[in-house]
Amino acid sequence: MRLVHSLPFMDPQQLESLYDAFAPAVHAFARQLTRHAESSQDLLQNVFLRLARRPRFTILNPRSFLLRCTYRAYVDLVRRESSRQHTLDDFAREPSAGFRAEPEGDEKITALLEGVASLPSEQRAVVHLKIWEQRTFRQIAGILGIPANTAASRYRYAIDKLRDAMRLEDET
Amino acid sequence: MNTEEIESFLRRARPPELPAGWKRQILGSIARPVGRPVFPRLAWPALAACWSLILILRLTTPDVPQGGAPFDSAAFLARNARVERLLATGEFDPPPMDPLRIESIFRLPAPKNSPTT
Repeated sequence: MRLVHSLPFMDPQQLESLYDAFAPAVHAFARQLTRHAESSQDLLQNVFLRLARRPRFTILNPRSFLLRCTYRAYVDLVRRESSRQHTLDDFAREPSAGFRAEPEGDEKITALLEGVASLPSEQRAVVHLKIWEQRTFRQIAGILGIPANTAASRYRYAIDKLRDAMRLEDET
Repeated sequence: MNTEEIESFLRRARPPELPAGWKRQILGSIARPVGRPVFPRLAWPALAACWSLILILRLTTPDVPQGGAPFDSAAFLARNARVERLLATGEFDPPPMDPLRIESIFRLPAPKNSPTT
């Protein structure tokens, strides 16, 4: 477990090292949530600004902390956009949230990624944390601020939807 | 396709790459003074200390009537103690006050039959 003692306004070098270590994960999660490159950049900036402004505060697990900040910033973004009578779904959404099939062009993976991108954001968040962050449901619950049972059921619903989508894909 | 297969396929997907140029933009915007908090670290404790000092002084300073006689002077205290003693023994019998003195204190209009008119 890493300990990060942040200063009232974090030392730029420390902030840079945290950026190097965790920005890819934060960006991938932000992109998964927003499915929009510019919005994910806004979230990334917001998250690191929050980190830089932490008063004397001990962060036990910076990665989880940053993922939690990302989700909160996303929820704030959705609320802000809703109050402006726009929803995030009005944006030009990326069909696979920037994720790419490996090997390139694998149809099943591409179809699954598109299926993930079409899930509701609550389910998408759980799937991302479970698949790409390898988190337990208890950890996911901590990051998203929901009960562990809710996280597990959201994941189950998401997998069911993906399975149905793949079944339709196979039939056509 | 079962759950394990779905998870396995998804894990093979590559997450989006973080654009290299963002680092400079994001860290640069945070480092600018405009991104920094307005109050420095010691501002709030200093403000709290000032208010505490004001409160302590307010509570420990006796109330002294403004513009009055020195009510804590030795003469005042001695006279006050004498009056208290007389009151306690029932011997307090203040002499009648001079009407001119009352007039000067309350700034009443002088009576028409006053010797001064």
